[in-house]
Amino acid sequence: MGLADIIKKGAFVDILRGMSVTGTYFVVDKMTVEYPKEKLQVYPRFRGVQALLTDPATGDTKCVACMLCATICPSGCIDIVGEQTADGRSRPASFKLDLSRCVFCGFCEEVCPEAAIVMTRHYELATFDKDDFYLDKEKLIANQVYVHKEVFAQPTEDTAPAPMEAGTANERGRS
Amino acid sequence: MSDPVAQLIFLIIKAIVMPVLIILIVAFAIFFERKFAGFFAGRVGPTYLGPWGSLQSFGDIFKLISKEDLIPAKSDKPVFKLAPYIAFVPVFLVMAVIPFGPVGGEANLFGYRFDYVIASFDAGLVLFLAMGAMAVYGVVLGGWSSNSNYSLLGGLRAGAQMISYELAMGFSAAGVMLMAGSMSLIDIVDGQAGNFWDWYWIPQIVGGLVFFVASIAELNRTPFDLAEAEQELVAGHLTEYSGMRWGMFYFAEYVNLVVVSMIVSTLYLGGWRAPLEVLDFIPGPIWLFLKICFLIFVYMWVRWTIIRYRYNQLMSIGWKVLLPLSIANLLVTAVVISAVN
Amino acid sequence: MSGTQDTQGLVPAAQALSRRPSLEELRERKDRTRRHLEPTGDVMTISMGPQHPSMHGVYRAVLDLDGEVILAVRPEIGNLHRGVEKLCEHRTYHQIIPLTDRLDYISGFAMNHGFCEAAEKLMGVEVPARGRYIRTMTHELCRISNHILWLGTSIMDLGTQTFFTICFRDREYVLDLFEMLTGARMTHSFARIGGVAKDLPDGFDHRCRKVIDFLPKRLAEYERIIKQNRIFLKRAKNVGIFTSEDCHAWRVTGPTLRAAGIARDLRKDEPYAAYPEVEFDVAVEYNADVYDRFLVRMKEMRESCKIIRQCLDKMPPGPFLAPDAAHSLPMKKNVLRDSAAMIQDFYQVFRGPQVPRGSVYRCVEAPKGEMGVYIRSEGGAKPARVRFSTPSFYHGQAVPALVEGEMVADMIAIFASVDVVLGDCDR
Repeated sequence: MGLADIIKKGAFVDILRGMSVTGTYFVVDKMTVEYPKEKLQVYPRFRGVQALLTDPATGDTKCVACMLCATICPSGCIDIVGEQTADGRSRPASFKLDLSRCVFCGFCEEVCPEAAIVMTRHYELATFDKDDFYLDKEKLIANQVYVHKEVFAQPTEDTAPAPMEAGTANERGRS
Repeated sequence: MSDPVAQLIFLIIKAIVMPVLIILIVAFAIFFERKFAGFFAGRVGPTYLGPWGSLQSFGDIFKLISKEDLIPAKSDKPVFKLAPYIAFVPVFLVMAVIPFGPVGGEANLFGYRFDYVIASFDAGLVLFLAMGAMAVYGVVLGGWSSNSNYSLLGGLRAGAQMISYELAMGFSAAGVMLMAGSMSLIDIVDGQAGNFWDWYWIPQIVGGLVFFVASIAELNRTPFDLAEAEQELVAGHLTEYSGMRWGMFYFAEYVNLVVVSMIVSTLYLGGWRAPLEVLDFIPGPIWLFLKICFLIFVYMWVRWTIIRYRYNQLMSIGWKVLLPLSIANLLVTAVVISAVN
Repeated sequence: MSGTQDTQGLVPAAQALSRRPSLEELRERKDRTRRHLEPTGDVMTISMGPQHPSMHGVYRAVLDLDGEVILAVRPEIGNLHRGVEKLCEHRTYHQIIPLTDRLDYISGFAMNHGFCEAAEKLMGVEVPARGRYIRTMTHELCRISNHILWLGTSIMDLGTQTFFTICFRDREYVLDLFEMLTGARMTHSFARIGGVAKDLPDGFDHRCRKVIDFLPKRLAEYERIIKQNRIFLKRAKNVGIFTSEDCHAWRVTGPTLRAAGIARDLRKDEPYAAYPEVEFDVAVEYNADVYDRFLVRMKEMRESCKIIRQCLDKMPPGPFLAPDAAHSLPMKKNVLRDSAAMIQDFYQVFRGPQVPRGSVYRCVEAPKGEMGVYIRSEGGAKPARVRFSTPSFYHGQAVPALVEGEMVADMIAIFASVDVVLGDCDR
């Protein structure tokens, strides 16, 4: 160990280097997001609680009770009972979703051939009442207010990915 | 009113005001520790209670008081209950001998002489070392009486650590003692009269660094916080403590932080003296306060940057590095002083 | 370092001989750093975990201590056993993907990827180029996120909280990318049999480049704090030496093996996805201690940034999911527009992929080590047996060999340095 090393060691150079980094963090802008007060906008693909979309023309849900979502669901949390309407359309008589089992994998949304069930941006699902976890058709339809992503509703859409809410990425206060 | 009566009244006032002030400083030191812990990591720290989160420590105290006081069934109950007080009381006693302003001299307050020290004690430094050694009993007894393996390991570590670092601390403080020619903290501050280059930190730079490092160990802070060592021993000697008993240990730690900062600034940074003589118009307590703040900040900065030594490394640093350095420092100081005289 | 050599034996790679200690030397060094104490009457037994601040997850180790020296360790794993392998037998290959997320939840995509690679090998599905590149890129993002988290937690186990927070702060950038790309921050469920679930979103390229340009600067800051720090050197150098032969004996893989001087990296040795088409180096260090494991991971993160940049540069056009009606789900946008795709959708959901009889083993280089998947199929849409051979399990069971003779404080450091996630370990 040379003299220079001894002096460096005695002067705590290595530790002061580390302290200079934390000292820099001390003065620069903080990146804390004070969560309940301020909330980040989630990205368009975020997989929050599900919603059933309604058809603006009829006002009824777009779901045709094809059972794809109920079948693919890895945790088996969707329960659908189908029925025929008078005009021959198929629709769900009941559509139950058990959030306490849901793993938010997004398969239901992915396989839905009618783009009827979508994952929304809503993620604050904590509740004091367990019944709130059992979503029925009305609750799922009411969840439409949280829908935030492109819905592949238009079959004539271009092959390019549908436009997303541009800019949300950089507006999260963390760049 | 005769002078002795006035001195008695002053003494009572000082003995009441000083601890209250220290407790306030401690409350804010705890708040700032948490705030700065956040700042050093690019976070904001506590923000909810009070403006800028500044009442956080009072919230903590209310929380601690309201928590259940658990005593483990197989613990040594009297010792378990006593240990927090043993940790708490000695650190307060040291405050009595630390001067926070000029002592002696002319009448300066309502025609009476007001000494800026609670007890004008000739062996202040020894009292500090003795009380530091006492405070470790709280930790050791707390760890032993909890009847938990983690606590026991923490207590043993604390005991061994204190013994090794007290030595280095004492020897490096002895260098200052030689320079001032006195063990009284009042005389030590008087010996540093003048500007900041007249303080003892320049001639005693080695001793000062050793003292500072040893004081971190004395304070049980990273990198020497082996007694608590959350990642290894859960909480060391505090594992089984809860509620206000835990709070007393915690509080004692911060009182100790303030007291040790006072001692370091008294020994090496001129105590209550202004860094330049032209700034003497600002009263001594304010300078002492600023120095304490600076030192506490440095302690926090170190704590929130670096990692912890291992137990055997800690011991080898204490015995193989710090102790020889402090003895060498003492020898050189002694030789130089006798040569100059 | 080409990385393809020296994967089997213990013969030192020629070009690295100069700075590489020999195996004998390492063995001797290991022997020297471990304390060999005869068990005396005063053995203190402490139970570390499942509730202990630095036991990652619910790992439990019963330690026999003489003073602070560890005489024996009895690890206890299985507290987080969820029966994932059994669950797989009752699900179609598509439905298994969300389960694999929950193995190593720190690097969920790597697990998805491993399973899909195995299933594709079994089914003979060819992944289109874009799918392979997106997989490679996501896998490397996973590696970065895993290693940053590892860095934060392992340095925290050495005693500073700040490092933990700043690592989490920077991991957040990567998690943001995941959220943007896959829709979830940890349990991505992003790989599909035949490709990936979704194409790159708009603006992803720009944002991802920003992050990977920025991260190396942050890595340099981390190194500034601890790489030369005397305390870190003391705590990490020559601590927990685990030579390459120990690694082979205990099947320890990943960064721990590479820190022991073996350039074993499945990305090079058994290439998959787009790894043959990108340039990168395998990070190798030679001292087999905690410090070298740190160095290996720091290097790997930098290499991952390189790989991601190349993937973004070379990202080919075309489909991201194989147009294989028999085995993979259709692309969502086609389902809404194309009746053939809709039939594929119904077919895949109700009948599942039609898989030939047979069995297959495929492993990928997950961030923590080799993640192997064994699938045995007896035909039909559900596997007859799935077995995950996850790195954390082997790392967790090697703990006695790693720490016996070291001190308690070192056990924490060593246990952290091999990177164990209990979800991965107990499955």
